[in-house]
Amino acid sequence: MKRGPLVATVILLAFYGASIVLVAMRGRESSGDSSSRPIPVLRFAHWNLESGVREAFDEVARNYERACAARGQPVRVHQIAIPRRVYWSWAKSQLIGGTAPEIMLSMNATDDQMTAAYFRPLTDVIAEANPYNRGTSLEGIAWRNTFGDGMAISGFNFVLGRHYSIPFATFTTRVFVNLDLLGDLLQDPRFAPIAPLLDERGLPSRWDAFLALCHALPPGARFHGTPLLPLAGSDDQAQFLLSHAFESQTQRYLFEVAPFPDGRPNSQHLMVRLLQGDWHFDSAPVRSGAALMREVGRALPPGFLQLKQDDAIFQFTSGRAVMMVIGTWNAPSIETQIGGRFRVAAFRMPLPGTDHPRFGSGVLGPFSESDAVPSGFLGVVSLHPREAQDRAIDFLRFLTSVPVNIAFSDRTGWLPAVSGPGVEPPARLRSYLPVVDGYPRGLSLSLNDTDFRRLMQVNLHLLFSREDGVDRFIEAQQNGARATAITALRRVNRDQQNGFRTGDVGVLVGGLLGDADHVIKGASLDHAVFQEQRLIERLVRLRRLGLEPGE
Amino acid sequence: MLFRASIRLSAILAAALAARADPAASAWDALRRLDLRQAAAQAQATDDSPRSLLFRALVLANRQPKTDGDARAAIALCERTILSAPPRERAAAGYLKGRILQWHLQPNPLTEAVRVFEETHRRDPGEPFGELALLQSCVIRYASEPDPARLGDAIAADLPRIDTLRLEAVRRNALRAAGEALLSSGGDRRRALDLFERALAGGFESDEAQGDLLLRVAVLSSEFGRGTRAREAFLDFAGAFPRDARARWARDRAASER
Repeated sequence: MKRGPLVATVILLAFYGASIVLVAMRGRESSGDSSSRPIPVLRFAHWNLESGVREAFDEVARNYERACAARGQPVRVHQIAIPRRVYWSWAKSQLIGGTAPEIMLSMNATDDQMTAAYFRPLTDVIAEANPYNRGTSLEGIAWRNTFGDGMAISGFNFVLGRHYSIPFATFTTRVFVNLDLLGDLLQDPRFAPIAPLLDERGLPSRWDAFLALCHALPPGARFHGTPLLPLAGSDDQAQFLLSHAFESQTQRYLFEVAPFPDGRPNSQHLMVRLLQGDWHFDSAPVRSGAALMREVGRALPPGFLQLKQDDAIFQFTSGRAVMMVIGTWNAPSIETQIGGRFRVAAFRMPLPGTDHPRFGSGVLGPFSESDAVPSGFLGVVSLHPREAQDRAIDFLRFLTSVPVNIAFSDRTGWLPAVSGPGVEPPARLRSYLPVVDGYPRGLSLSLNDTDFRRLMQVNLHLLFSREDGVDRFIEAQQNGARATAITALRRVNRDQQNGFRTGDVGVLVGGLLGDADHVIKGASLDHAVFQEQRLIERLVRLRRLGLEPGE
Repeated sequence: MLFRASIRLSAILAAALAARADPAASAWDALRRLDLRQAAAQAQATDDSPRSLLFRALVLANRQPKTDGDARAAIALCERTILSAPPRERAAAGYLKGRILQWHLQPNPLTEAVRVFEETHRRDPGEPFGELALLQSCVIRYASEPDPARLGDAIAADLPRIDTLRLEAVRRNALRAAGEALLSSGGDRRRALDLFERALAGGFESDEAQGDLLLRVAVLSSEFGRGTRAREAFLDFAGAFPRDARARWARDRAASER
């Protein structure tokens, strides 16, 4: 053997050996070696401190750990439950400081910029089937289509045009009634006229019965010597009750004021019209809505605007109120507080029908609860390495698989997020199921906008103050509307532009590195183009009004 | 034989090592994830190829805190790219320049953005980003035109160009934008209906867009006495989107059409 090839072979073998060591070291750095590194930890943060929810999440976490261990990929799951009132400030500091957990409630509805910067878009991921649904009736179905709304709304950020979170439960709002107290009342001759108005289950679920019961117990009423309220209430209850009442009166009006008569409201369009002076709050349907709000609001406890939800829950669970309107996410806590002392039933909030002599003309029909879409909204934080993000997605798939989500529903008393043929929610939760067959809710007094909601809250006391409450309330709304519209439009316009900028990054990177034709054909283009056209129209109109700087 | 095997093995391992350490790939990945801090850090190391220039332009335009200076520097990088890049990157650079003018600079210089989008489409009409540039030009011009007659003329002049678009998504959105603008400006609603019908023929991927277009067609068809088409479109909507809050209303409307 000649010496030259031998030396070269030795050198190459040395390089080969060194390469093996280097590749192994790099592999350990970037992707991990399960034999030598600690078991990865997956943390998820939420604000759901309701009774039984943390325990249910713990159960899911332990089951997930067992499933991962069984396939040789052990993981530890830690739950971080943060009280709601401090959650957002805690979440922001965690994200900005780079110490956020892998999964947390997304800021989909609160902060588009934070959502874009810190949460992973999930639109591609939800198009794939959930592998944990193998063997169930939803096997092979795209993950998004295992949720009731196909994630058309759930988890979708309409500004950014992508999905940023996964829902894990479904909620509706119901009137809870103390059956034992109602039974006692009906034994009393003063309440006898209400009995024929009750439904076949003996519940005041029709408008006339509901209102008759409310009016039969005026403020300060006592029953067997005990002060009794028809409706437990606080500011939170009022928001739901009053907005429902108002929107029943503006159902037909919605088709008049929408940019196109198809029942899809556009708040920004109305705000621009308001600034142009061709729309205002003082119209017959808005007056009728305010009048009904006043009528319903009078059944709430005196000073309800100063009360908080815990006060209302205490009124009801202590047996001092016949009914309470509340979101079903509170039902487990309420059940725990009642502790079996009295029986409770739930029904949908009744509203006047089209045949109502005074409040029927603006009504189209019962509301569809199609807006009660699966929620919960756990997002994947994009600060972490891809491997950790993928693990977070896998956990969310596990949580929302049919067997796990139904078990979670049974444990929490919350409706499951998943639905479809063969998916049965626990029988005791049937009265919470959203009733989809119905009509759109009418124009909202808050125009579905945070600034207009604040304006309404500031003025609401006027509605209940004196006999001319409706006039004073509408006048105050109109007086504050211009400044509110300017603030709201500037905020929405800025947020939307941020969304379009970040959307462009995805389109350009995808188009340059991959198949541009494929990237451009997505649903997000259909969505973005329409939104951009609306934004340009607004900017141009605001420029003409001198409310936006010109080019 | 041992020698050859060693060479082959070494080459494979060296390639594996290089792939793991490819800074350009991880920089693009960081940008795709909007991890602009990491992308910005790696942008320093990239070369002056058209893609690298575009990468730097994207990072500059989007990094925080946002400044007009960064946006203008990003535009300058796009202009450098346009001078020397192959068609795909050149069209992307033109499109990005237009988008920076449209949404990054304040107050949004929309007229200038239209000029850039038109140039981009003229230069690279067959490129995906060239087609997107034409769409953006249409959207801005239509949404900015308050006069229905002038808007109608602009749409008529654009339709031959829109018909040549290769990407169906771009074409249908241009047709839809034209119809929407006619409605918003109080223009010819019958013409808007025709444009919506043409847009709908290709089908929209977004459920929201598809549903809204079906209702546009249904309501406008009813308005112009095309009862059969109105009924069909209302029922198509209710059938395709049974969970939409407007499904029952659409069924009612279908029943009332003769």
